[in-house]
Amino acid sequence: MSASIALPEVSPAALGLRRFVSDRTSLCCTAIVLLAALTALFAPVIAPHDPSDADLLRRLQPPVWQADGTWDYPLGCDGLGRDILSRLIFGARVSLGVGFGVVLVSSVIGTVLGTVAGFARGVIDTVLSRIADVLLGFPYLVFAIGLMGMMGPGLGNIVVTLVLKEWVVAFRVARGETLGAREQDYVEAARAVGCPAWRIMGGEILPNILSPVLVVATIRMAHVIIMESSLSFLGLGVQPPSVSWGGMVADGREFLADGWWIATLPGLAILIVVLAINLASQGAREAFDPRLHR
Amino acid sequence: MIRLLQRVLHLIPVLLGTILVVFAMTAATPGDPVQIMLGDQRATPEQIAALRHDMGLDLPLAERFVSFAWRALHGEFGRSFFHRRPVLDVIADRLPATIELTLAATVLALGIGIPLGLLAGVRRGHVTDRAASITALVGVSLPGFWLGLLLMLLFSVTLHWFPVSGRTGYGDEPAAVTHLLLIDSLLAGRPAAFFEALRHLALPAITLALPMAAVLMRVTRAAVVDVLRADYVLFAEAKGLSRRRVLLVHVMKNALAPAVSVAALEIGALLGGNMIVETIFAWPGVGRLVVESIFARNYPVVQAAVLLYALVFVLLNGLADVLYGVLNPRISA
Amino acid sequence: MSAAPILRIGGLRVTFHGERGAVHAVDSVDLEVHRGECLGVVGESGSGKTVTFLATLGLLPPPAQVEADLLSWEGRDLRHLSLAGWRALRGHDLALTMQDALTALNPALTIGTQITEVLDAHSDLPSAAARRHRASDLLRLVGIADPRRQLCAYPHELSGGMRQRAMIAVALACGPKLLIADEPTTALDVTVQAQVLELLDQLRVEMHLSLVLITHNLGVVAAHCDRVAVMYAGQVVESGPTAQVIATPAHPYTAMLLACLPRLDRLDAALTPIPGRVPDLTHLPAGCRFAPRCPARTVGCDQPQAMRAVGKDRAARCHLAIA
Repeated sequence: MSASIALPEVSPAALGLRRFVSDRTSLCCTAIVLLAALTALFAPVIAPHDPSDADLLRRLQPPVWQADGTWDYPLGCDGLGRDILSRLIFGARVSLGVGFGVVLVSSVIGTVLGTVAGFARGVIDTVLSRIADVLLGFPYLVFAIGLMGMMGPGLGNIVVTLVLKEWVVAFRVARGETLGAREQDYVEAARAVGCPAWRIMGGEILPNILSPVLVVATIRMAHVIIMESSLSFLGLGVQPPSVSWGGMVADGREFLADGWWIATLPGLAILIVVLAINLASQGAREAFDPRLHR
Repeated sequence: MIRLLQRVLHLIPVLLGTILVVFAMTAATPGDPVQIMLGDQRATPEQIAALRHDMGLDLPLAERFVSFAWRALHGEFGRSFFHRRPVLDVIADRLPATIELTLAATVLALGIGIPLGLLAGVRRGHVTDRAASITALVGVSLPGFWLGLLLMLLFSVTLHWFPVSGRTGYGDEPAAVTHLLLIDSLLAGRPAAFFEALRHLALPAITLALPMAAVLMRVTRAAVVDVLRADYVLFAEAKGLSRRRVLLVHVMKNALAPAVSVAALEIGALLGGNMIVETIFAWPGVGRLVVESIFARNYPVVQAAVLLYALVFVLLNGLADVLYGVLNPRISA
Repeated sequence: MSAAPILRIGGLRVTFHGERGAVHAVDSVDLEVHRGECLGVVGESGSGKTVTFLATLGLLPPPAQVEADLLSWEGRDLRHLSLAGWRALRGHDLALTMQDALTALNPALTIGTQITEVLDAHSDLPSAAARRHRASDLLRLVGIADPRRQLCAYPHELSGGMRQRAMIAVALACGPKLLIADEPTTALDVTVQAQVLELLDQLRVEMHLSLVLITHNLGVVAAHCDRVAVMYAGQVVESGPTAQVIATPAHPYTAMLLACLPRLDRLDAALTPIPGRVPDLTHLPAGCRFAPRCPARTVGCDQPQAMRAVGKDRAARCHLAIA
């Protein structure tokens, strides 16, 4: 009697992907995020109206399911008579654009710096880690509001501010993973062969730490979207005529009694996108975690 | 004792770094600080130069930083452009309101998040757990400002259960002892004032507390699930201890440690969140002061408040470290 | 052997339902523990020895499926005992110690607390001071020096041997009648092992304790146990007085286990391991579970084997067994 051992025919990555795809929730949420991204990308084509087109005659027009609503403006109009649906669509550009852009830039910066710090150790590591500690020790929104307050509003400033806070997260992950990776045999081997440091970092270590960095990046994107919309809500974000979901909620504040949809719908959009990202990344973590599955 | 000192010493470079960051923020301000301070007043070039010299703006950056740090540590932040009073006084006036709000929110968050997390962890997989976990996930994904407006829409505008804004109704306030309205009104023996203050505090505190409660719930749940698998829980049951004792003493003592460190980080989120909540509910605290000052270009106030927030956060984190060591004796050894 | 059995287990079956199917961890196990005796339960990892006693103590909640034809303690039927009933029984009448004291003791609580809480739950000692006094007495009883100071110690501050003793003190705090010691020596150094076993012997006499020693070490059983039950793949395959079972094993598995042991009087002999592997508990053979590895396998071994009497007080689960 001998038990045969079945060797896995597929790589762990492919296995994880298969598991991820078979989970309905994860699939659904990824679809929602992709839909939002496509909406943002093709906003000028999809939006029924010009988001800045104001007409006081349409002021505070309710959404289509209420008494005076029409299908022309299915989600109603705001205090200046602008179409909410079109503004939502264009708002996606800012929210998702900033979210994606900030995470991309900060991940790159953080990963590079983290790998260097983890690999080189010594003074470089100490200095970079101290800087990271100080930045981490700053309450997030306080930092963002303070810096935006000083620098002034605008898209570029938001990106800079958020990147300054976000790079630390990627830095810590990359540094931690590098510290672990550099003890591995394949790094020893590369060093023994005389491989220059930058090549070891780029060629050997980096591919192995990409996965955790990627996972963290998806989680952070949700957070960045909330931060950007919070800043825009306070008036510290993108300025008119650019549309942002946070700014729309702020616009709707004064019309809470007469035009509840103006503040409620953009917030709902933020919630849906962020929730989808959170659920999808949770599903991804569970699908790719080797410990949970045998 | 030694470990305590070590931790305090470790904080110092972080504190200095924080002051440096706040200073750097100021340097990022576009425009001339002197012009801003003057506003619409007209001044001759000589007066401007004199003002500049007074404010030390003609010194090299390094010297300016040192003088800024020195003055900051002594509580001197200059005078508020707008109020024409020392900045620290202006902030001190608004501090009690923020403290009351933050304390209330922290108590609420701890009181909701941790027990719910324990419940969900113990009833893992059941309906209670699923419902609580989904609620927590939504809570973490909610934009705080939207939640505040929703609560306001539902409870103030539609149901009229709570007031829309402010800290008190218009009436005489109880004698100021602690400057925390809830406590002062109790001390003065005026239940009506107490309930009025509570009504005003309710929505802002809940708005501020819920996201933190959601995070705490998730962390506690994960810790509880982890701990429940441990051998010492089985051993405790084998000793014939009541379920209550096993959960509250054996499980929680071990599950609380990670929850505490997360709670400290989350208070940082509270510090930022209260700027938004105070703005929405017109709560007369430091957070609203910061936002107002930003739009009024009243930079000394912004600078001082940001530094204050940051320092408080650093100290809180240090405290959380100490607490973690207390709850988890193995770390201190 | 004295008196009637105080713990009786009959036809115990424990099944876990997992992703890969039903795991029959324990199947038709019959065991008895008599007052004042030490029963050794021997088997490899996965033989079901720990699960048997966790199930007996009611410590296997759903999704584990626990069924028994007979499960009684001092005549009381344990099968449908209420939660309150279990709380009263555990720690007070029946006690358990676990393999690794480092994980069995709560790292966040002092040794003293972990003893006094048992006293709190079961005894009627009037005050906290009285409980602490008793706790310190218990530590002294198990041979821990400076007991008053050790009351305030945390588990990780003690050495492995002291921790094991402390765990025994916790288990015996309320003077239970039966102690189930799961692998009490496995996590310890050899020299400390002897001390702990000696301690258990001593306590048996001083506290009129009945003992179940779960172990994979036949040497321990030989030296300390009155009776022994050998388990394999979730079943008891042989039981009887230790001396007899070791001298003349009735079941082939027992014989081969004994043959595995290196012998000091035959230093040149080769070691004889048992060929093959323990069966997968989700896919058990229909007949004798040991048959695939058994050198004595013949016709008739493909039928399920029942326990057969093989002499006085002895039984073996093999149709070939003779006393």
